[in-house]
Amino acid sequence: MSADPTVVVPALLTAAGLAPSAEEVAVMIAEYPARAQAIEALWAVEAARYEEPCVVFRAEP
Amino acid sequence: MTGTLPAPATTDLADLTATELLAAFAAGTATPSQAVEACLARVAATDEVHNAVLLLLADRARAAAAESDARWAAGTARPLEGVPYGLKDIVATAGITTTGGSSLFSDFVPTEDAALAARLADAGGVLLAKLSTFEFACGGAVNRTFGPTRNPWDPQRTTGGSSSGSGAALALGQVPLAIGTDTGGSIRIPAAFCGLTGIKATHGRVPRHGVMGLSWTMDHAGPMARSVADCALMLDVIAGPDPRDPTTLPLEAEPFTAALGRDVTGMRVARPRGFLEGGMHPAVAAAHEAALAELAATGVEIVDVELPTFDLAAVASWWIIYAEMLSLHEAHADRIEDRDEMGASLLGAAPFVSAADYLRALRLRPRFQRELADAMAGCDALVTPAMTSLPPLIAPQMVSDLGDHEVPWLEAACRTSVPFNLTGSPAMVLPSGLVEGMPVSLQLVGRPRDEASLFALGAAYQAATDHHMRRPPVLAR
Amino acid sequence: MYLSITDAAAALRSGETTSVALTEAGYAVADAHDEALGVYLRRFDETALAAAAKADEELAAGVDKGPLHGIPLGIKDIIATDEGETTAQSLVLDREWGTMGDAPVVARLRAAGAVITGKLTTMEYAIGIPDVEKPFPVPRNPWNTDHYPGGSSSGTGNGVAAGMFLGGLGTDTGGSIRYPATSCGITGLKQTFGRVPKFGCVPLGYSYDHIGPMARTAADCAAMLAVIAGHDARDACSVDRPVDDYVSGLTGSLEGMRIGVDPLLAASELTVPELEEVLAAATAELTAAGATVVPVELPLYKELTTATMVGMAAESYAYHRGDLQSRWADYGSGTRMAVSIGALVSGGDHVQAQRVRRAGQKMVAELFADVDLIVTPTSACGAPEIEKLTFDAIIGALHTPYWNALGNPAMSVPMGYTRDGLPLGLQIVGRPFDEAAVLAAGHAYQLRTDWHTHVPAMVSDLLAA
Repeated sequence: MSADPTVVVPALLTAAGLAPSAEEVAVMIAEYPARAQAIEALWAVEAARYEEPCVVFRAEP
Repeated sequence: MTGTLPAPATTDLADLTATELLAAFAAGTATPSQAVEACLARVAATDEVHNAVLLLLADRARAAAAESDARWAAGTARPLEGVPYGLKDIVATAGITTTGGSSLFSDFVPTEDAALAARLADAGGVLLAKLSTFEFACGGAVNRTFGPTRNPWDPQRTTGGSSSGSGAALALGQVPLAIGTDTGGSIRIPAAFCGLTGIKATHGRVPRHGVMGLSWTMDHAGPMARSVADCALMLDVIAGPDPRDPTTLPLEAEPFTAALGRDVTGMRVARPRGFLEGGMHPAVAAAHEAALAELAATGVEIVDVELPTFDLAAVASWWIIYAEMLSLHEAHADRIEDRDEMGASLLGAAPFVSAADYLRALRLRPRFQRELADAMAGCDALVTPAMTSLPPLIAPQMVSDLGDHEVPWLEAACRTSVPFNLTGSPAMVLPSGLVEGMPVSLQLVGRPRDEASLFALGAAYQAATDHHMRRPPVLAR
Repeated sequence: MYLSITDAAAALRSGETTSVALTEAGYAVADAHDEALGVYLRRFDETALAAAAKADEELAAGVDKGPLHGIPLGIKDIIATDEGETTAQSLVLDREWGTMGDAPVVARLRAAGAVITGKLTTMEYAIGIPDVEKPFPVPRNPWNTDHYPGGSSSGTGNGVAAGMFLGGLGTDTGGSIRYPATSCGITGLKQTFGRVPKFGCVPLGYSYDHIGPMARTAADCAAMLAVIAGHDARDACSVDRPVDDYVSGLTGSLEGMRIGVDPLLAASELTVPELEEVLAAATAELTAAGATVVPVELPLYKELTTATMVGMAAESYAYHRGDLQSRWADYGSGTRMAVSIGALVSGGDHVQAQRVRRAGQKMVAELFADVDLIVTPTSACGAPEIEKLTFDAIIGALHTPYWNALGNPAMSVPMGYTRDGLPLGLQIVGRPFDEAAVLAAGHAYQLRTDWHTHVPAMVSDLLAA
């Protein structure tokens, strides 16, 4: 993922209505690329291409 | 009710229901081969205008019909022996292209049948055609690759979708049975717009294995036909557990056809007058009142109930569909400009749904289920209008006419349908009359796993009325 | 002093000790060391001693409720109990929550005669790292109080290790039972997802959360699991299937068992060099007990770890979003940072993680077609220093989250020490709902080794008394 974390992270936090300190935002920005890369690896799992998610849903609550 | 001519008396096998065909085959007054020829002739006569068929399987169907002829003669007929049917083209068929209604899959040939396709074939059904669909079951009414499907009652209007070809083919008599799929109403919307009977059974009733997914927890596959009896017949064949679909339900003790003809006197049906009867075109609303009176006349008691938060159910439903479809169609999101209108807008919105929004919607789901269960306490079913408007005119960005104003068509079309994808409840649509020459319909919603009550009520309604017998004027010419 | 539930249960029945004596002995350790170790959030001395006295009367009268009768146990403070409020070690949690009374797991322990000694420290809402600025104890490791005891079931882990009670309940979403177990040198079991109902427990990651036993030995965990396992419809994830007889399955022999081992040495940058040797010695004991040990490679290792971390963040954020918006500063820094990761995850990402889980389940099921159990180290290293704690470093060392994505039962048993004298754990994993095999292997291993009997120096005098 090539998106600039200094743009993406503050935007997502703003959209979520969260207001961390500048220091905390800086930590989140620093940690974001590694996590984005890890998530990207989930999209690359070939075996999951036609797999069902582990979301349990029954018509009876 | 404005009058169209009643369906003309006919011996054309293409106009018979599956139940009637099976009786004719059993009596020896018709053969599967004759039925297949009648259907092929009907396709030839009607499909140029209406575009229901993506792929006609004439040779295969004739070969299968010949085998069915032999089985009827030999006394080894199976439950659907020799009955022609069509499959929405998101249902995988081994060795036969399955396009998903998309240019991306125009050459895709699966190596394995979908679970339900295999069951229909094993029951002796004759696959006649792969039918049109909105792209990936979520694109717009104008399929850019395969063209729009036109409503048999008025070719300027949409069939609705996404099971567009299934709707048109049934109304035109091209096939007596078809499979549709329903994530937000895609069986019930075209059934209502084309004057058909269709049922989205309880989530898990019909295995989804081999049916191109859109949203796992909202997707349902199911029968579309020209009568309640035919829907029960088809559902009996395709229902039942499949290890490849982790959400499938066990079989019920009794077949669904056993509920047909059951006495409905004294059954109670809940009527929610709030959101689910809100925003209706006045003429459709008036027709709904008339239909409820007919339903009551079958001996059913209709009681008013409240579903106070169901206006939120639609919102929650869309968030779930967005998140789940992005996971499945992520590979197609970067060429979004090549996708059909509606799918592109859904896929375009999906990245803005956060995981928390998705989970919030999932957490609300049991609340809506309980709200519905509470409202239906003491009742056997719930009744709503199937559609709040008439089918819109075909256009790139369609709108629904509500009498004094217009709304985006999807908002009107899904208003009464998508909440029951969210709850997973069984929901049946059946014709209840004509308004301005276009069909209008009732929706009956059941308790989870209680399709039987819907079949009993629907069969009683169709025994007392002839709305489902009416055919589009084009067939009278 | 009795360190294991099994030994104490025998002594209670032979008249060598009483439940009151066991309970008082544990409280005496707490009086001496709780300030240093940060185990209890609230003690229930009065009700616990009353329950102990009642247990003694019952046992004397021949009323025997089984192996937990009269045994002092502690409860992580995210699980509701009759004694009153549950805090989740947070200023945020509405104190009205938890006033519903005993969670099913606690009710079942009580019905089995257990003595509930108090509510134990946790990382706030079972996630993150301690925040010294919040008015809660900072839990410390009895093997070296400069070090973390592991989390988030910190108080259950260090309390058992220190002998303040004989066992307790922890919860495990990414490793929060097995991490304090390995860090404190005790035994902890995350059973199969759905095996133990989690109603009455503050949620973290709905589809990853487990409540499980922590104690000195595998046999003790078997006794506890036998009591807390079983269906309860109030937990939508609870599975309705019969509970095995875990205790009588502890034969001590592993004859005929095939055990796969994946050392995962390269899977973490934090692997200590001595881990390889310690693990090899542990697997040699499994061989000596009759098992055939074969190498295996866990599929999708990083991806399934990510699937747990992403899913946990998203699911916990869905629960906390409103409070994070309005009460950011009331949350501890570690918790709010860990949970807010969920705000950076899309709905599609979450669904994709759920799809990777199912793909992974199928691949791991294929592994389990060839072996009965899989063992790995629980962690790549010993518990870190509290001063240097970061959430990412904890996750980077743990080999536990993988199994939360999959749902298999996984237990940590002590298997030795780092060069710095910090405990290391062996993780034993079984097929879904085959806790019996996991516990049997842990028990056989503990019959041949004595790591689980070691007690930290700081409490050894008291415990020897």
